[in-house]
Amino acid sequence: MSTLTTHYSLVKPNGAAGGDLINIGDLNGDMDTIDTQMFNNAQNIATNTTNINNQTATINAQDTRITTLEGQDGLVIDLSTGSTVNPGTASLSDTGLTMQVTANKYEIDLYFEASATAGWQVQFAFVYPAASSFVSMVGNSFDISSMVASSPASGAGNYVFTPGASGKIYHFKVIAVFTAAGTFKLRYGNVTTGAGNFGYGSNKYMTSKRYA
Amino acid sequence: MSTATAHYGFVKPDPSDFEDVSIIDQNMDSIDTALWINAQNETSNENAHTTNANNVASHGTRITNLEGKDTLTRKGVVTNRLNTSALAADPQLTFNAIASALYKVTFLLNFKSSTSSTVQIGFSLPTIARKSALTPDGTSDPNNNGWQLAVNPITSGAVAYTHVLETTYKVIPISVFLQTIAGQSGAFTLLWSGNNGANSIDLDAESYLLVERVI
Repeated sequence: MSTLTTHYSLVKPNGAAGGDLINIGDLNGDMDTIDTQMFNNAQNIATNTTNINNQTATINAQDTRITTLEGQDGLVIDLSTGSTVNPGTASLSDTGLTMQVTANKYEIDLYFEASATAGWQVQFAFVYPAASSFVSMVGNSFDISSMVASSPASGAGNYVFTPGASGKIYHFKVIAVFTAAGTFKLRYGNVTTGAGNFGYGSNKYMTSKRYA
Repeated sequence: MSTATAHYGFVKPDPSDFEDVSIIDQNMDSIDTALWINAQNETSNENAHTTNANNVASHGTRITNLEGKDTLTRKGVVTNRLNTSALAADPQLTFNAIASALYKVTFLLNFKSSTSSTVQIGFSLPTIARKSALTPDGTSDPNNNGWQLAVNPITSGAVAYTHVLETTYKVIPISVFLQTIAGQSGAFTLLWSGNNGANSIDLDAESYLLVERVI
């Protein structure tokens, strides 16, 4: 006598000697049952695939947003030191304070340790990509009233100081709306020529905040 | 005449047909193939699900990291210290620096002294790879030393900065850059003391600690 399987009630003929003959009707019924159940399984798997793909797309979009947030703040620490003997002409060269910006709004603070032979003047300049707005301020960071604002052209020399041989930290604050990605950097050099030199110490920092 | 199942086309012989083992074999192959495809799709789903679960867990960690990145602490209470040169930890102006991180820390210290006096400032800190503190350059009136800051080395417990207070509230801002190293975390705490003869010095409740963790 035939029996049935546990879950889907497929017909199992008696396989013992002298048992059942194969019943094509039962086999056909089993085939229909298997066909239906496998199709249902495939449908469920396809639904799961759709749900998981949607979930993956959401998670990937979240990853992009988190990555954007993680990249909002930047800090550059430049430990290099250097000294340049009078080059005979006013100069500007790159410092270690450089970073890549994107087409966004930024607030950037730069701290630069400058030194020079007594009485010598040094100058600073910024290089930056296309911007719809760019203003920089310099001064004692702890006294806003003493900060001086200007909108220097990219690459042009400006901000002339007489730092002194012992080295002083200059604090610059930049607010900019960049309209293109590119390199933002501080440049530094001498103004005074003649006997003397200028240099920089290892205390150089640049912090940045990117705004949407 | 034989027919076929609805979805996979398994062959169903007519009950009046003779038994044909090859048809059973054909159906078995069809079932085998369909089951294999389902199994493959299930495995693919399971792998994608595992990847998603790992990414969600990672996102949770990263969001927590972002949420705790920047903090602002208001001192909230006045701390009064009598004439002493011994640095002591401020009970409120402290934070736990995590390992392998970059920080910009700003203190806005609102001191008041009844007479002209000297305040000393130091720090206690974990083992740190890179550190320096930027302070106003000048002893009594940083306004007259505009555009310049002084850099002070910061060593645990040592006096990093000395400032002569006037007889009114005076805000002393200090910026500190820190880079902690792998495996080294710990409290970063402001230490201070004041020499004021027989009088005392207040560090006002309206003093602040701003911590910006970049990495």
